[in-house]
Amino acid sequence: MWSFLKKDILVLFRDKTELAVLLLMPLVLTSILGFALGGVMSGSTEGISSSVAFVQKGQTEQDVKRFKEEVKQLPIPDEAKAQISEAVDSFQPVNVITDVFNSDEFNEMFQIKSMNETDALSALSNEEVSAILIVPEDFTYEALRKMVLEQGEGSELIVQTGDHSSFSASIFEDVIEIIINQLNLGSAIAKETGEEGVVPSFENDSSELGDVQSVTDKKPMSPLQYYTFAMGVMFALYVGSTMAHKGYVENFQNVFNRIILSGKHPMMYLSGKGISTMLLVFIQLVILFTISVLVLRSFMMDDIIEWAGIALITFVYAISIGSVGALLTSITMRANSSSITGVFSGGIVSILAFLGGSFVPKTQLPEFISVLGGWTPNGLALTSYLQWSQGLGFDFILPSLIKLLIFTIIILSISLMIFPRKRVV
Amino acid sequence: MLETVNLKKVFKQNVAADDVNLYLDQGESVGLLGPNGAGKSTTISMISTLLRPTSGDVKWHGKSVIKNPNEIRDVLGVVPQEIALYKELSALENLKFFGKIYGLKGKQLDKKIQEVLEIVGLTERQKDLVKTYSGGMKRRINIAVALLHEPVIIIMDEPTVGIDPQSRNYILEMVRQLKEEKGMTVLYTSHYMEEVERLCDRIYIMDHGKVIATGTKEELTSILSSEETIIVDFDRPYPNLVNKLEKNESILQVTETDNGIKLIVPKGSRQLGTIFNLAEKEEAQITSINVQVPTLEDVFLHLTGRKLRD
Repeated sequence: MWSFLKKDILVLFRDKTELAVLLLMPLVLTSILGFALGGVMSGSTEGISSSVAFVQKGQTEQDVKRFKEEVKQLPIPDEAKAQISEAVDSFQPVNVITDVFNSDEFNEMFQIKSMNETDALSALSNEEVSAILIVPEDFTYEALRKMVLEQGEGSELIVQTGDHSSFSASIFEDVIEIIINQLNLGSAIAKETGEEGVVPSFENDSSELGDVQSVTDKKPMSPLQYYTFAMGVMFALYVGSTMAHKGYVENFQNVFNRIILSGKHPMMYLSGKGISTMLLVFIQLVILFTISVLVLRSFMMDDIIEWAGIALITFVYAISIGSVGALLTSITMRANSSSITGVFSGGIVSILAFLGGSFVPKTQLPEFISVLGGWTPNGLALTSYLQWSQGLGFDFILPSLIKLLIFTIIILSISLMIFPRKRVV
Repeated sequence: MLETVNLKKVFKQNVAADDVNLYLDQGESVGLLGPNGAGKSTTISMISTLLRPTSGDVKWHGKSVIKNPNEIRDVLGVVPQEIALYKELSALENLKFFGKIYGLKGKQLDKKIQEVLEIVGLTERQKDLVKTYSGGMKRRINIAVALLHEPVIIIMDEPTVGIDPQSRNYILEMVRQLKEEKGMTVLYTSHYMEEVERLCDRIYIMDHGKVIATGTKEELTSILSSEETIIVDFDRPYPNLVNKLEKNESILQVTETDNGIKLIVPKGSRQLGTIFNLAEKEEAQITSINVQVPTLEDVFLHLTGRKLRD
């Protein structure tokens, strides 16, 4: 098997045109997009500094009072009623949001402007704010009923972004989503542990209570960092078509026949193609990330755990592209034509790259496209890279990695079925 | 040692090889002669287990290779018509790769590589990339790869196509040495009659997928033993003269050549006088005249009505 790998690596590394496409192009595009879009989606907290409108439609005090009145009517012991009342005084859902808004780190990224809904909508359309957070009427009352009494449907925070909304709006949405997760999880943990209430904090690490994510863990991402990953996952796809095309040439020039005549099983050849593709994708991404770090200064090299995670994602992604390489090789060999590799590299890669967020972040795409992109191998890998680099833990990236492995198994099975084993005696 | 039994291959509705029966004995050199599209490559692809026959069988020491392809693959060296090499790799790297997939390794592999490089005369250029080689050198390294695992039989599919006369001579001499000095059995396909005449003990002539004649060179040319060939060159074409010769019943065949005509006539029929008379009447100027014994080319022409290179 090593002979096949060595041969494929040597053949590819001596093809200067292919090397330029696979290594130079992504670096050039990363630099162009990363620096050109720096103003639009700056990753430094200083760079984002965008304004967000905060609209609170209800009255928290009235909601709390109304909730306490309801508790008084409950057929439970007075002692329990007193405990609930005390807990509600110390924990109100909306305070979690305002606590976050008052934190220094949040203020480095966002400037909160309290206003009424009409003004907020006007500000959004005038691009004065990049998003609006609306706390609806009865939010506190409904949230407390749901969280404490498990009654009603609960309530929802509304985040509204405009057509012009940029990367910063996406980050803001993420922040709010995490706050909501904290609220829900904090409530659940409180019930589980029997505590009066757990207030998830923006600044305190609450991991001791369970798997609660702190918003501060989600580091902002610069365009350079984003496009390092985005271009990497996109150009890794080209390795699949390149390897399949080499397979076509091997078949066309009878080299494949020569391999078969040596007594090697055709499946050995296909496995060689898959593993070579995997190895080359891994090498390609390692080179790209290393140059991005050393030359473009896109990342710091100070956290070994962070790089171990990136290596893991790269490895899983390389396996999945290995299966793509095997599938394209199978189709090419069966059809005895190189047109499929042309179609793949000339069109399908661009479509996958668009869906997967290599050109613009998925959050800025229409929802159905974003959902579709979430099922592409490059989309899954990009999401994993971004989540991991933003400090979200292994639990966040695990679902994407599992999906990538499932994708790999399916694609490999199809390529095994397609590969023309019976062409030879 | 190796034989094909009613070997047939049909691609869709086209019969590429039709009931081909041939055999090879140990140490002999057998030629498969025929024009392009005669079915030579299809036949050797089936023999070398790269193509499944529609019907018939290939037997190696009496055993079907269709059922046990690996038995023949171990002892078979195949030189395809195409340059089946990695052009981005050096000759040495190519030989190492193919040697390893044949199971050779270490010093044994290195020794074998140097041995085959010496046979093909490329020891000095072994580290150069194949893409920098001339056509003849590529053909030679193409042969070297097929010799790496010390095959008992070597099948060569038109190994001299598209190369200069010097390289061609080198390859023909190399094949002769492989047969005579190494005792290798050779199946050599070509549409160059002179190569087959020079190298092969026995010859199969193929056309339209069928073996139309077989035997030694002498046996094949004896098909035309009662005939002789007269080649007449003129200063320019004389169509009327050709027409008149064709109408002459004592002349068996008239073919136009680049410089004149080629006639097949019954041996001793004394047709030269007729030819001179007709040429004089047409005021045709004869530049040369040559009476030959029949060649394989003549045999092929006689059997198919076509030239080998048609």
